[in-house]
Amino acid sequence: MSVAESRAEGLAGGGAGPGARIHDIGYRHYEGPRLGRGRAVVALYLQGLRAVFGLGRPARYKVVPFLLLGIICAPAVISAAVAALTPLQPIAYASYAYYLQLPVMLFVAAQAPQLVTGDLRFRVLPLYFSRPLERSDYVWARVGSLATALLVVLGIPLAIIFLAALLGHVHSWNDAWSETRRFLVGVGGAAVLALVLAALGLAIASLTRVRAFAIAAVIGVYLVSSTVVATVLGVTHGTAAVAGLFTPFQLLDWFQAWALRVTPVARPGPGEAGPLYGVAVVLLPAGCLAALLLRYRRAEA
Amino acid sequence: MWYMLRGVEAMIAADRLTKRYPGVTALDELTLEVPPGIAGLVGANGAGKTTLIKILLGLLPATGGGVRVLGLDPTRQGGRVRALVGYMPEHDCLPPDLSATELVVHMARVSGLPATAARERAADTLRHVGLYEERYRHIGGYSTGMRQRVKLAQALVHDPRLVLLDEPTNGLDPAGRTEMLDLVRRVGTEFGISVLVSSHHLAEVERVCDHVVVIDAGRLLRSSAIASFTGRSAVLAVEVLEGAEQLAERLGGLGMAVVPDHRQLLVELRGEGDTDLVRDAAADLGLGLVRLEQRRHRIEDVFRESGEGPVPVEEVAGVRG
Repeated sequence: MSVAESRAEGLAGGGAGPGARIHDIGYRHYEGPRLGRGRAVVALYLQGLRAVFGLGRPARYKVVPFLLLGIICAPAVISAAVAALTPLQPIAYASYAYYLQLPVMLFVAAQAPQLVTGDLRFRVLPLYFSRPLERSDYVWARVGSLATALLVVLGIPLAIIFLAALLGHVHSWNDAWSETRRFLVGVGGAAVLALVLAALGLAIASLTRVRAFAIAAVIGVYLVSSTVVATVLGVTHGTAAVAGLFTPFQLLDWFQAWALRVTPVARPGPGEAGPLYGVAVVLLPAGCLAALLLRYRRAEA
Repeated sequence: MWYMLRGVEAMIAADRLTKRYPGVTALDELTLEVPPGIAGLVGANGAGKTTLIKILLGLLPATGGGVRVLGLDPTRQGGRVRALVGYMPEHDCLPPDLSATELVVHMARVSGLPATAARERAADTLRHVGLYEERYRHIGGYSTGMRQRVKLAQALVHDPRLVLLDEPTNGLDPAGRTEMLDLVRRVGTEFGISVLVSSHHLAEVERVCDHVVVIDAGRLLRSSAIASFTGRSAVLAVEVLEGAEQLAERLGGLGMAVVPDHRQLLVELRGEGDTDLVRDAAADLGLGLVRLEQRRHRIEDVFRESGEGPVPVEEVAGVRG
C-alpha cells in the first residue's frame, strides 16, 4: 500500500478510533455559479453605497455621513411640525435642496473621496481591473453608488414633509393627489441633482490620491462657483440668466423652474435662457462622466 | 494552430509578441509556449516580465504579434480571460483599513461569486495561504509576509485555472521567500491551479517550477522544461517522535541518502517503492511516524544547503540579478 492510499484510508475513517478528527480537508475547487460581469458591477456598486454611509465599518466612518444626514433632515422635521401646528406651509419639495445646499455639498465633499481616493492611493485598482470588470464599469459603479446615496440623503427629508402633510393637512383625495404630485416632482428634481453632484464630485475627487486635497477641491469648486454666480446675479438683478448655469444648485433651481414649472427660489428665474438649463443638466454630468472614463482608462493597472 | 503545444492547448502562448512604448521596446518579437503546470518567468528588472503579465490579462494592448491564454485571446476576450485567471501584482495593493477577510470576500464578489460562496471561499483561501485569526485584523498592521499572503489569497479566491504571480517573493526575508515558494508549489500541485510566477532569481524559480522562461530586454533567452521529476531525485521529509538517528542508520543501510534537517530527516527518493520502505522501516523500529511529505527540492540542493558537499549551480548566461 502506498502512502497516498493509506492516507486516503485514514481520511475515509476506516478503523479510526473515537476522537479521530480530520483537521485539514485540503483544497477544494469551486463548482458553484459564476455570475459574471453584471453581478460584479452590482457587487462593486453595493460596496460603494455602503462605504458612503460607513456601513459595515467602524463607528468613526459613520459619524460624518450620519451627522450631515441629520443636519439635512432637521429642517424637514421642524418645518413639518410647524406646518402641523400652525397654518404655515412647510418648505416646498423642489426648494429643499437649494436651502440646504451647504450641508449637501459638505456631504459630497466628505464622502465622494471615500469612493475613489483610497483605491488610487493604495493601488487597489489593479485588483479590480484584473477581474471580469471593465474600467468603465468601475466608473459607472462608483457614480451609481454616490448618486444613489445622495438621492437617499435628499429624499428622506422630502419623505418626512410628505408623510407629515398626508397625516396633517390633507383632507380630500384631491389634496392628496396634488400633494403627491408635488412630492414626486421634488423627488425627480432630487434625482437629477444627485446625478449632477455625484458625477461632479467624483470627477473632482478622482484627480488626487490624497483625501484631504479631494475634500478641499470639492468644497473650493462649490464655494467659488456659487459665490461668483451669486455676485453676478446680484449685480445684474438676476437679468444675466445664463450665470446660473455655472453652479450646481442654481442650475437645478432654474432647471426645475423651466422644465417642471416649479417656482424658483432665486427670482426671477431663467426666463428666455430656460432651454439652456435643460441642455446644461445633461451636459454637466455627461462631461464629468467623460472625464472620469478618460481618467480611469489611463489609470495604472 | 500556433498556440497548440504538441496537440495540447498551451497555458500561455505568444507569437512574435511585441510591445513598444515611446522610446522603449518592452517586448521584442517574443515567441513562446508554456505548458500547464508551474512555470517561472525569469528576468532582470525591466526585462518585460510585468508588461508580459499585463498583456496576458488583457490590461495592455500589444503593439504586434499574437497571444493566447488558456486558448483565449486576451486582447479581444479580456473579460473571459480574467474570469479564469487570478493576478497577484508586484506592488502593494491592499487598503490598510480593511481586514483580510473583508477585502478577500469583496474581491470574490467582484469576481462574480454569490455572497455566501464568496464568504466560504474567502475563509478557505485565507486558511490555505496560512492566515488564521489575524485575518480579522486590519491589513495596516500586517507584516510584509502576511500582506503577500493576502495578495495571493485574493488571486486564488475565485478558484482560477491559472494564477499570474508577479514577484511574489519581493521584499521577503529568506525564510519568508522559502515559505512563499512552498506556497506557490502547493498552489500548482495540491490545488491543481496552473501558475506563472515571475522572479529575478533563476535559482529560486527553478526550485518550484516545471518550466522556466527566461527573458531579457523583451527577448526570449530560454524556454524549457526543468528536468523531470525522474531525472532528478525527489526528497521525502520524514518526521518521527523519537529515534531519528536509528531511522537514519536503518535507511542508510538500505542505501538511501539521508540528511538530518532540524527535527526531520530528508531522504532521497529513488523510485516509487522508497516511500513504503521508509514507512516499513519506521514501523519495524516501532517509531511514532509524524509526517511523510514529498518535497520538490533537488537532493543536490539539500546537500548544498546543509553544507555537505559542493554542487555546481548552472547559471544561464545573460541573466543579471
